Formats: sequence, C-alpha cells, structure tokens
Amino acid sequence: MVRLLLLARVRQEGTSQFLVRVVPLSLLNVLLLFAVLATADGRGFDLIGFTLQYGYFVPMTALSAAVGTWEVELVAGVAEEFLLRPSRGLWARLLTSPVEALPPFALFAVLILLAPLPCAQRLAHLAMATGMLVVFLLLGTVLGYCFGFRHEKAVNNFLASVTWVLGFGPGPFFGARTSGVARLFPGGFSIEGDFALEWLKLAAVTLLAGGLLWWGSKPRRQRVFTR
Amino acid sequence: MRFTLLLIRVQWIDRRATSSFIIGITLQTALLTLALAHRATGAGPALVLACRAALLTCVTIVLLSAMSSVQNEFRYGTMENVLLGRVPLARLLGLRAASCAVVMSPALCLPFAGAAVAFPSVLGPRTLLLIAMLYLCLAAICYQCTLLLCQFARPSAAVPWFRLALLLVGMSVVPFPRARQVAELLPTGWVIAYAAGTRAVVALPMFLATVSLWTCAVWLAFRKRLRPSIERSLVDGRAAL
Repeated sequence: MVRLLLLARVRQEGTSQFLVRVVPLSLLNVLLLFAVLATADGRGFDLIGFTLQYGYFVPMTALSAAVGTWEVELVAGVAEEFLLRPSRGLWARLLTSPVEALPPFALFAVLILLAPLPCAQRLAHLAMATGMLVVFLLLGTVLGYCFGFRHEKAVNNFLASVTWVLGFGPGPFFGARTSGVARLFPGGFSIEGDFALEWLKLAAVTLLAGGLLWWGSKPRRQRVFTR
Repeated sequence: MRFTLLLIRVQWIDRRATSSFIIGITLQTALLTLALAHRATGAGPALVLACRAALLTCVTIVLLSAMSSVQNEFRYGTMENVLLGRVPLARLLGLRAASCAVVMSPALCLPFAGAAVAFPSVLGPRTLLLIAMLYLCLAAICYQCTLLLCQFARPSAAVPWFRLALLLVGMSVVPFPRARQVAELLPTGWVIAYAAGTRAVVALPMFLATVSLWTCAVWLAFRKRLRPSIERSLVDGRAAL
C-alpha cells in the first residue's frame, strides 16, 4: 500500500520534480529560514547554533510532511478504502510521510554527530531529534485522520501557519529564547540540555495524539479529504 | 489612474481569495516583526533586519503574483485593452507590477514599524527612502519575473528556485566568500547595502542602475517570447500559464 501511494505521488509529480522538491529545495529552505535573521549584522554562519535548532526544524518538517500526505490518497484513488478501514489509512499515512521529512532530519542528524560536544550529549541530542521526528509524524498523521481537513484549503491553511506558529518558540527567529511560554514549544528545554523535561513534553504530545486518535475513531460523521 | 486603481483592487481580491495565503502572511509578518524587535541591538541592525524580513515575505508574494500575471490579464479581461491597441503590453505589465507592490504594503511596512517602535531613531528620511527603494525593487522584480516565468513550461516548478536565488544570493544570506559582491549584481543586494549604511553613497545610484539594467535586459530578451504564450491563451480560451 505504501509503495502504491509513493509510486502514485512520484508518477503524478514526475521523478525529478519530486526528488528536487524533497531534497535540495527543502534543505535550502531550512538554510534560508535559519540564516535570514541570524546573519543580518555581518555575523558568520553559526554552525553549532544551527545544529541545536533541530528542536524547531525537525518538528516543523515532520508535522508539515505528515499533514501534507493527504493529497496522495486522492491521487492514488484509495480514499474509499481508507474510509472502510481507517487503520490502513493511518498506517499508510504514517509510513509515507517520513519520505519528505527525512532529508532535513538527516542533515540535522549528521550535524549533531559532527558537533563539537561531549559524546554523551551528542547521543542524547540525536535521540531527542529522532523522538521528535517520530512523535510529530504521529501527531500530524492523527491530526489528518481526526480533523480530516475536508478541503485542500484547510490543509494549506495548516501548512502555511505551522512554520510561523512554531517559530514563536526557540528557533531561528527568537534565537535560544527559553523563558515562559517559549519553553512549551518543541525544543524549549533540549536547547539548554534539559532532556528529561523535553521527553516528558514529547510524552504529552504522544498522549494528545492518542486522545485525538480515540476521538477520531468514535462513531461519528466520517471526514475524508475531498477536492 | 482609474485603471491602476482597478488593477490594485483586482489584485487585492485575488490575494484575499486564498485564505491560507492571508493566514500565513499575517502570522509571518507578525512573527518577523516581533522577532526583529527582540533581536536587534541598535537602530542600524534593526533596519537591516527589517529589510530582510520585508523581502522574505514580499518576494514570495511577488513571485506568486508574477506567476499568474499574464493569466490574470485574461481572467479579468484587461488583456482586451492590449489586443485592441489601447494600452501597450509593456505598460499593462508595468501597471500590474506596480499594483502588486502596492498590495503588499502591510507586509512591507510592518517590519519597519516594529523597528521604529523598538528604536525611535529609525524614523527619518533614510528609512522612508529605503521603503521607497523596496517598493521600486519589488515592482521591478514582479515585472521581470512575469516575463521570465512565461518561458517555463511549468512556472510553478521554477518559482521556488527564483525565490531562493533572490533571497539566499540576493540578500547575501549565506555568507560564502564574495557573497556580497555576487549579491550586488542584483538590486536587492544594493537595498541591503543601503540599509547597512556601509556604502550609502554609491548604493542609491547603483540600485537604480541595476534595476533599470535588469528590467531593460529582461524586456529586450524575452518580450518576443511572451507573444506565443498570449496567443496560446487566446486560442485555448483558457489560461495557458
């Protein structure tokens, strides 16, 4: 099923087009978002600062990739099947979305492994980034399942705002701001090396995803993507 | 004049039609304004940050607008004026570009307002001139990109590359060696140079020179190839772009 969905997507978009969008364009976009305010006053490229901002970039790309998989179902014509068996739809979406979230994640994983930090800290950051990827992919998938985003416009609203809403936390725009509400955004604790609290937050996000899943699978009006 | 006002109105309606666009741009402008007020250490850096923030938002809008520009002339029937010989095509596209620059005023001016609230010394003739330069720069980019994007079979695939070229290279965002010299081939580089105040004397004439040079070059090189796409639209009865 996943292979079918991916093939449908690639065929619809064209192989080269798909690859260009998923790998270089998404990486350059990450670079642009990081550097647009950071290098303004003639400062050089702060590589370690960039690396530690995975707490913004990994959840952002994972969430947009997971919510953005909605189109594939229309293209592949499997929306009716997903209506009949929601679990298949959920699994298919969860397994398709990493393809688009992986290039930025791989970039940050390599940067974390190469960062001049103690070994234990590097491993902790890497585990944190992986946890964020998995949890936010799950959240995005469940959001798509629960709310259904019944129209292209609804998904686009979500995708257009997720970059900027997450931006209010610590990240490329406000720097390593870790006070008050900013801590509640992804990466608020891990940017200072406070991993236990960050894992707790991820657990809370997982619980939220579980709650949405429960709410979405209660008998109610079914919502699917339509054009 | 009435024609320009009509174009501005039409463009505003067109932009408003996509709600995701409005939501995204509003959030983005608010976030960037707050962030630059939070980040800037003085009036000078605040001006550069505001410039970058405004360009980040506006270049995206300009490219979206340029992508559907010729298509919109058909959609709203303004192309009739060209076909009947009332208005030359160059002027119609120019008016379209100018109205596009006017429509994005909120996204352009808000970062500067944020900078002025954080550092009142930003207010002055220099900032006003900078904003005027940005308007001119964005209108010119819209005009050039309208002509350039017509050349592609799938303009929507080329738009992200144009955006990244204008932002990453044109604002010397990634400081690779000689980034500034490369950026100064484009008008955006001179806007940033004027905002930074490092080469303020040459910045303004060089900015005007780059803007007019690029616009003339693109017009001379691509005006002939605009015709097939217009004819295609006419024959199809629908937008070819």
